[in-house]
Amino acid sequence: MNRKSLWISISATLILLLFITVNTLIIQSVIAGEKKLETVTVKGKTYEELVTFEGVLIPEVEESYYYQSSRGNMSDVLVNEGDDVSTGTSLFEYEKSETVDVSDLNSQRNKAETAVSVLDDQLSDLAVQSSRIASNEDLEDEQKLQLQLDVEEQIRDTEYKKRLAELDVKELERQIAEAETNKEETSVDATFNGVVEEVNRTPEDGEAVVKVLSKDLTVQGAVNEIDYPTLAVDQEVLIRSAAYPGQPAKGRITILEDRPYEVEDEAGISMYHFNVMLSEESDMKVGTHVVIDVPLHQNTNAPSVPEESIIEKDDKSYVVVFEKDEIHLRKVERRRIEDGRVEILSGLNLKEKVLTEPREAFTELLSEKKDQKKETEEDQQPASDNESKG
Amino acid sequence: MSHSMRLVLGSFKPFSHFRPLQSAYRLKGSWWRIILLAIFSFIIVGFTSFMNIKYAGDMPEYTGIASDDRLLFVLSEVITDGLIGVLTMIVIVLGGALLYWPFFQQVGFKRLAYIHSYVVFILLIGMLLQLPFIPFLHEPSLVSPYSLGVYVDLITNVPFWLYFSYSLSLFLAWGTFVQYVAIRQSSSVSKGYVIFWTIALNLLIAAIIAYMRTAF
Repeated sequence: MNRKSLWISISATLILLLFITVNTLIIQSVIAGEKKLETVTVKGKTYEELVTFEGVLIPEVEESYYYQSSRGNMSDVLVNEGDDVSTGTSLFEYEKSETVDVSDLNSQRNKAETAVSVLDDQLSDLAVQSSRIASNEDLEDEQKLQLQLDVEEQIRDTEYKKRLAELDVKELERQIAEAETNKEETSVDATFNGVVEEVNRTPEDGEAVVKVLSKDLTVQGAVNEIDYPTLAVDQEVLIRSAAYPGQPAKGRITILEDRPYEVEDEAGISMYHFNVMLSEESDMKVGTHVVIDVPLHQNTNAPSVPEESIIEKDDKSYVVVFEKDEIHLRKVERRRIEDGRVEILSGLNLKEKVLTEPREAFTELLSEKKDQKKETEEDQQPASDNESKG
Repeated sequence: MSHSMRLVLGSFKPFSHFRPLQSAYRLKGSWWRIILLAIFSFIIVGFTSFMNIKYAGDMPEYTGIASDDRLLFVLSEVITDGLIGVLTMIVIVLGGALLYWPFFQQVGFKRLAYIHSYVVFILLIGMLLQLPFIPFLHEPSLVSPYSLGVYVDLITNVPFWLYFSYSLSLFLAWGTFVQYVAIRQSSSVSKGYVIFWTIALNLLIAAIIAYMRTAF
C-alpha cells in the first residue's frame, strides 16, 4: 500500500468515525426519548339514531264558544278578531232575563237572622224561668207543675218560630246565590290566554260566536303505523325548520293519538297524529313546517373508545386495559361507531385507561393467558359438579 | 473455471474477488453459505428484536405484562422477527436479483442472486454492529447512527421518510459499492450505467420496504 492510499484510508476511516460519533451524539441528545404506553381514557359519549317525521306548528289549544238560545238572547260580543284575551276575559254576553234586587234580599236575610237571634234570647229566658220554677220552694207541687207546663209550651212555640225564621234565612241565602249566579252566567269568558281568531255576531242556536287560539304553540306531526311503536309520550325530540336554519328547538311528545286520522287504502297504511310541546322559546310561527328528529336507541354518556383500541378476535371484541401499572385483556360488548369512537355496552367503565393501539402479537399472548384461565375454570367446574352429585 | 463464494473476501476486496466472475461457468460453495446466511439472519434479527424489547422499549407493553408471561412474550417476538429476517434475506437475494435482471441481462439471474448474497452479508454486519448501540442509546435498531436518517429525524416525523432515510446507511452504501464492482466485473456495460442503476434500484428497494413498513 503506497503513502497516498494510506492517507486516503486513514481519512476515510476518520470521516466515517466522525459521522458515526456525531450521529450517536444527536440521537443521544435530541432523538432519544422515553417510550411510554400510549393509553386513552374511556370517555362518555351519547349515541343515538335519528328518525325524522314531518310536522307543522299549530296553536296548542283551539276553542270555540257557542251560542245557546236556552240561556236567552245574545246582547253583545265584547271582542274583535285579533284581540288578545286572557283567562276570564268576557267574550260575549246574554241579555239579563229579570232584574232581581240582591240588596233587598240581603236586607230581608238580615231581618230573618235578627229574628232568629231574638228567638234564641227568648229561648234562653224561658230556660232560666223553667229552672227558677223548679227551684222555688214557696210554690206547691201542683202549682209548679202547672207553671212548668206553661213554660214548656212557650218554649215549643218559640222553637217552632225559630225554625221557621232559620228556614227563611236559608231560602233568602239561596235566592241571593241564585241571583249572583244568574248575574255571572250572562257573560261567556275565555278559559285560556290566546288570540281571537273568528267572531260571529249573528249566530244561530248552537253556532260558534267566538273562536280563540292559544298563544302557546305545539307541533303536530304525522307518523305511519310502521314507525308508530318507536314513539312514546314524554320522548324528547328536536324540531328543525328550513325557515329558521340553525335554530333548532327542543321539545317533548305530549300526545300520541291512538286512532288514525287517515288510512291510505292503496298502501294500506294508517297515519296517526302526535303532538310535540316546545320546551324552549322559539321564533317559529304558526303554520311553519318543521322536521321532527326523534332520537331512538339513545345511550347517554356511554363509555366510548377509539376504533383502534378495539381488537376483534373470533367475532368477539376486546380492549387492553391499563390499571395499576399492569395491562390485561378484557372482553367488551360493542355496538355503534360514531366519529371514530366505538360505543361500549358492557365491560368498560368511564375514566378507565385502555391501550390506544394494541399490537396483535401482544394481544395473542394475553388472550392465551385468558383462555388458560378459562380452561382451568371449565375443568374445575365439571369436577365440582360431579363432587356435588356424588 | 469456477467462482467460489467467499463472503468476507468479496465484501472487503471486491475488485480482486469478482474479477473472475464473468468468465466463471460454475459458482461454487453457494448453497451452504446461503443456508449459513439464513441461520445468521435468524439469529441476528431475532437477537436485535430481543435487544429492542429489552433495552429500547420498542414494545412498551412488555413492562406491563406480568413477569411470568414476559419470557413467552419475548420468545414469540424473537422467533417471529427471526423468521421475518430469513424471509427478508430471501426477498433481497431473489427479489433483488429479479429486479436487477432486466437492467443487467448480461450478468444473468443466477449471478445477480449470487452478488446479492454478499449484500445480505454486509447488511447483517451492519445489524451486528448496531447491536451495542441499542442498550447504549436505549433506542431501537431502526435509529441507527450509521445512517442518514438521524438528520431526517430532526426535521420530520413522517414514518415513511424515517423508515426510508434510516435505511440509507453506511452498510447500504458498502453493499451498493460491492454490487457495482461485482456487476462491473461481470459485464461489459458502461461505468455510468452501472452506477446509475445500482443506486437507483437500491433507493427503489429502500422506498418499497419503507412503504411496506409504514403500511403494515
